[in-house]
Amino acid sequence: MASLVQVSGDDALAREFEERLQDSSSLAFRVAYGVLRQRQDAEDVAQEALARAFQRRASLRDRERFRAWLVRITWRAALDRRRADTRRLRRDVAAVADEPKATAEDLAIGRERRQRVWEAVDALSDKLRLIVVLSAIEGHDTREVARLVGVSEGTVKSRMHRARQELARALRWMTSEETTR
Amino acid sequence: MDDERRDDALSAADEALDALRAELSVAPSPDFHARVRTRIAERRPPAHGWGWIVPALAAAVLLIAVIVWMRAPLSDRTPTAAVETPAPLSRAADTMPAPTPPAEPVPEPRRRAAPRTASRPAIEPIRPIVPPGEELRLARYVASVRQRPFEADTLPESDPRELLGDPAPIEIAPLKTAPLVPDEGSIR
Repeated sequence: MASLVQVSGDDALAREFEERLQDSSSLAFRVAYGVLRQRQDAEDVAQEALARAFQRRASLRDRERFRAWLVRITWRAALDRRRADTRRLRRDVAAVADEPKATAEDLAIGRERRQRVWEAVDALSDKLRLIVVLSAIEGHDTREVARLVGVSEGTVKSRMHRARQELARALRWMTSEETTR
Repeated sequence: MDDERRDDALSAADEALDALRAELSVAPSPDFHARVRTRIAERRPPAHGWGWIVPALAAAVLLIAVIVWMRAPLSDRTPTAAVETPAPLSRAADTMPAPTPPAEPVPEPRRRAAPRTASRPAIEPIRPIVPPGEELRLARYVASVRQRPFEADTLPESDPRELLGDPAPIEIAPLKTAPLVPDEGSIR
């Protein structure tokens, strides 16, 4: 009887985790992509984070708690991956140069401009960059970002304001560098 | 002029944020979920793996310990009995109700190598040669000497013979001699 209860309990947890997987996998992937900008690496990091989340599924049954934990773990793992990967820069350059066909966004922004945007985002501190990336993910308003990061909405707004100013400064500097060449 | 530049920069930042939004509208590949499930399955321990090995080993160790304990001789099982030493003679002498030989050895506890010692001849206890009736006095004297160190100054000034009493007379039977009768075949 006890084993039946255990099995049914495990089944319930597995079902819940399956729901979370459907619900949050895109979030994990996009957070990782916001750091790594490599589809394969971002998928790998997100899969690892979700596999770790499965191991802790009993303590992460609440949806909000699960998503916040997932964002934190994915973000850290992506940063670690990026720091450890010394060849990333070369791969980035090659990937940008060898893109077979431009997407609609690439056509609109332009490759150089796209690279500049990412460089400006990378120049932000980790704290500001997380807010910027989470805010840029579709469907995330200030309240959702605050929940995911575990800070108040006022803090999110304040950090977003600072991030916007720093982005502007970085982009202006990049533009002036290009014009002086 | 500066305000214009700042406004331009901020609008560039907003454009950058819009571009970032477009960049992050990516979705994982269609087999993403399947790969997550595969990764989870690879890490999950097998249901009927080696989980039984720990209790089985513990049971085996316990069984061996019990067998070894059962096969050990009684003296090894109760080590406190072997540690016990015979009471000192001084204590025994204090409460000695009857004359007992002080140097009588206490039998040693049996050891594991019992068969080897069994083949040796038994050692007879050493008994001092004391005249009959003097055994008790000798025992008291030995006990008093063992209780405290011997000091000549503390010896009683009175004649100890008074304390000891008269020694029992020793009777020596007179020797009887018989004259030798020379045999016929003796050497001269």
